[in-house]
Amino acid sequence: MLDVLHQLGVGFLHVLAPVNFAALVVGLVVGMLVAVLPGLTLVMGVVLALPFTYGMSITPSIILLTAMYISGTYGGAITSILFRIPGEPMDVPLLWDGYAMAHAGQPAQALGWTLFAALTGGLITALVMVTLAVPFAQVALSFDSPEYFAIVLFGFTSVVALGGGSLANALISLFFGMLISTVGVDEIYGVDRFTFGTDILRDGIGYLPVMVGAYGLGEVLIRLEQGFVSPPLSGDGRIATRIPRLAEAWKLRGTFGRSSIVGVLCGVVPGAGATIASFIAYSVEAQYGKSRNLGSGIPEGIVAPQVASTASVGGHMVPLLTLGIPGSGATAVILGAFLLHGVQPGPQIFQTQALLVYAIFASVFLGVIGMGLIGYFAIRPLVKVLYLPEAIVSAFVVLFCLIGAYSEHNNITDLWMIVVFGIVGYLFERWRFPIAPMVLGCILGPIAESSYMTTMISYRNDWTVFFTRPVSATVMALSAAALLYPAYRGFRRRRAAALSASSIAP
Amino acid sequence: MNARLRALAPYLLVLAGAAVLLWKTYHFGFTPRGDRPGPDVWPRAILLLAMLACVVRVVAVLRHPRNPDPVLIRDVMDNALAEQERAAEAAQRYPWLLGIGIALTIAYVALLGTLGFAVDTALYLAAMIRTGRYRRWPVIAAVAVAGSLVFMFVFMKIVYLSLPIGRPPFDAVSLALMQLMGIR
Repeated sequence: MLDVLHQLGVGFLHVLAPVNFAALVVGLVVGMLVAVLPGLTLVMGVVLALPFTYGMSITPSIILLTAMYISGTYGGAITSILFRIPGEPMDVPLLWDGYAMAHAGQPAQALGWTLFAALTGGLITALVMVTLAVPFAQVALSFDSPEYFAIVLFGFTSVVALGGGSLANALISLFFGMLISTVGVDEIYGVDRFTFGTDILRDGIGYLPVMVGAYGLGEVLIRLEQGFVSPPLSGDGRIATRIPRLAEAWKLRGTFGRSSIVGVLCGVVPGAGATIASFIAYSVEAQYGKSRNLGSGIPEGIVAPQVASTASVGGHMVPLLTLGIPGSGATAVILGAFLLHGVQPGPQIFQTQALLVYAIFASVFLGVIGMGLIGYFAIRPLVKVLYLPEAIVSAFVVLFCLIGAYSEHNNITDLWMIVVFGIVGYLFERWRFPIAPMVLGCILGPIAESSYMTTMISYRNDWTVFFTRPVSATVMALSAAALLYPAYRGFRRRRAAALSASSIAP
Repeated sequence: MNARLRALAPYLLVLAGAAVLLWKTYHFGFTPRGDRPGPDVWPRAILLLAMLACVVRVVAVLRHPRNPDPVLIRDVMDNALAEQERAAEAAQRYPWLLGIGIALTIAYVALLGTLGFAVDTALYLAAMIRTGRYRRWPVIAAVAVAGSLVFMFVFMKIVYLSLPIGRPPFDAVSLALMQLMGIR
């Protein structure tokens, strides 16, 4: 433990170096702006920032993207509370109590509770991340290919099961992403797969063009089809934040505790992101909280989703750093930044890149505090960006997407990938196929395939090995439960509906 | 197109595409190595599972055409997201704007090598902002030109990215701007 604290101290000093500190501040401000701006999402923002990191060294790059990720979980709350415009899907639960409190004449209190919740959730997640990561990495060192396959499979099933919407659509989206990852020359046999004789496809399709296209261009196309119509802003211009007193906050300790646990757990599970954390925390609060007036503008309804969504960030960083498995869109981009700088996250990173890892940990602590300060003092200029015309913002978003794709290989053909996946992203949205499973399938597909093939080769095609090794068997069971529970729930719901219909019928 | 066919169309499309790709997996040219799984095993498994998911949805749509998609997550999230989806569905749509947006983006990529980054980007930004129904031409022109120049400066001078300069006569514009900005 002392060693961890010592390393963390060194990490703090490293973050305070001018370049790293500048990256932290810029990341916090841009992350908050991205979450506030209409038509831009947090993942989109992190994706768009990636090309700017090509020229940086790895530490400021990761600090910049992580800071954006942290502050992005708070920025969208401001517009939810003040204008009833959720900046991100994770901010939807804030409409129920946050907007209600603001509408009842207490916007400063609502903003204060949100900021305090984000700060608390962030600091708790940073502590948990530092505490969990090292033991997690030590356990992960003993993992073999069956365990990796089981964990990736669990990531797939959780993103499908927790993603909302149709199970079949989520699965099709996931399989589509996994299939994209098989395009190109096979690593073991050196055989062309789905290249159709074209050189462009022989190199494979990277997940960054898929992400940038689907999340960036796809989202702009959807908004363009709707004519960039934003809801009218209805704030009264007197924007301020009133932080709750400690005594007031202490009364809600149960809510803080429950929501932090939900947030961190949702973060650690690959595929369950801040949105899931936010909704589940609200739901848990509704079920187990003391207050029965959730939805009427009470602090519990603001604190629960906000603590959980910010707490999920640190949780996500644990599997990313210790296993090299990103659990969300934003951490997938951060993984991309690691790989672009030639660093492969995994259990060994604590030995090979200890300074970098602890600088990231320290940047999360400082980032959370910085987010609180910026959120408190810069709220008025932040809200001003809402008045930027969406047509202008969106045109620049597309341009960022295209330059981002171009700058990876200095190749115009990469731009065509963006266009193709932009249209795919649009069609997915129109046909109600969720995009997240496709992206996760594309990212984790190669890891799943290589760990499956390695297992088959190492264990002589004995597929039972996935169920006989304790860790992989447990994770496989969790995957099965993640898939079967929604089916069971759907069956029960249909049966209940059928029973009530038969009891109503004469 | 009737409602049922419209609901089935995406699944039939995916099914057909998956069937073609499945056929392709039987034609990967490789030499098997003992009892090791070949490079066709993994994609074939994915395609078969995707086809199975499509068949499940097709059967569900045919059996219960009025039933919405099975919904999975907790009710509170379902309702909130469904509300948002309904609002998005109810929003007025402008397919022609979408068509123009896609066409402009394709044209931008296609012309990048010919017009060069500066000219192509300024034109694209202006056209895209106008397509987004923003009508103040002086602002559009200023934003398009300034945006293009700022991007050029940042990416070529600071990030050291080699952006396309275009072919004659457009390369002259790019070269003049580069000289002006001190980009070598």
